[in-house]
Amino acid sequence: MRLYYTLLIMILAGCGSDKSSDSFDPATNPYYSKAWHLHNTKDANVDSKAHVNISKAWQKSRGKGVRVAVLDDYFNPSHPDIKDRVVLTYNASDNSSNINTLAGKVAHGQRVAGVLAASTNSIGSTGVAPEIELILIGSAYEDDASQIRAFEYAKEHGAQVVNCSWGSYAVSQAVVDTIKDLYDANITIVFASGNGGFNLDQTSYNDESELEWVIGVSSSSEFNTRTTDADYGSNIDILAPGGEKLGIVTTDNTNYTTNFRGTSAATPIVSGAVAIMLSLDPNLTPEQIRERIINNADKIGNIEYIDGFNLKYAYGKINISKSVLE
Amino acid sequence: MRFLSIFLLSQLLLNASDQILLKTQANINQIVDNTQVSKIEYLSKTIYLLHLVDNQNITEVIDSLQQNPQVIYAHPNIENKTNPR
Repeated sequence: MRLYYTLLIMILAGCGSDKSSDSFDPATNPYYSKAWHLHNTKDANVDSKAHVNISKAWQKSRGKGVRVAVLDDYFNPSHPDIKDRVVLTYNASDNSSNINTLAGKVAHGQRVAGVLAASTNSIGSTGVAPEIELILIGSAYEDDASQIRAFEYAKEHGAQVVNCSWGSYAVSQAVVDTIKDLYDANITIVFASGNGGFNLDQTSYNDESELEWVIGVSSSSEFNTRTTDADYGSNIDILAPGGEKLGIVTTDNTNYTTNFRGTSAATPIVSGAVAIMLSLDPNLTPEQIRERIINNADKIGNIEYIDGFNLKYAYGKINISKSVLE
Repeated sequence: MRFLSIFLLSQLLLNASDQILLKTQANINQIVDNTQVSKIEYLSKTIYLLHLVDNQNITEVIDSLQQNPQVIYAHPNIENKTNPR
């Protein structure tokens, strides 16, 4: 009888969780030891607080069931650290499902996907949200039409988050209208600000990351300051680790890299945080998500924030556990 | 291949039945000159991509479209402009 009650209590306890496995241990992934963006690696070249404070959030959820679209160039959906996450692939340039056109190219998209969602499976690296469902949408985004096709595909196939580690500095009205359409459909869109060191407030820039319907992401360093070549401006929302000299560990074409840096690397960290938040509360709106992220950011850099904001540091660096557990 | 993207008058899109109607080829054909356009591609609820037939003057086609009250704007489909970051 005692055994019966013990089993009953264990079953009932499981019903109240988000079904994240208690056996989750990112340290079983060998490259986790180099993941300074996720935890204190005790590396002499890394500030002990340069990470995004994710461990308590992971105890609640790893984003299970949330569908995230990655719009980028090339992917290898058969990569062992990605394949279990992928539910759909789409090529927005030729309307096919072939996104593995990697021959001779650096797979920027594959690197972004790894930062976001590499599985916790005792091989390779660990993503920020390693239990999400990935829609991988490849294209050179060579024109407005391919971008619009990509956003529409994400919307029509149930994406709740869209990661865009790219930009133009000159977004067209047609693309703006499409992004607004997804925002109105309760889809959270996250854009990289760029790595030119530019002040995006200058009139010559009209970047996707500045739009009010997206979360604009700039980059922080392993020294827990802003990355010196990251673009910034009054419409950028948040910093996340992208590295100064030291990059982010992630999946590559067929293997791994320890040096994926810039706002492209920072952006999927934020998208992963959004996915974790949505897994725990699917009714959150894009604006509610943005507010939780900026209101719980760490004010890094030993600089002055006025009303919580600094032009070069935005609202600070993302603190994922505080954002998720608010 | 040259393209135009066009954005249809928003008032028509406020009604769901109109949204469905506007996706039809016949409805778009009322707006465009089919001697200038070889293919109409639906991109989103308000944006269509027009594939021009050869030897069409893109500026003249844009001017012609903008004469139509159902078109809010028409512009060339800009190429090669985004970069990974």
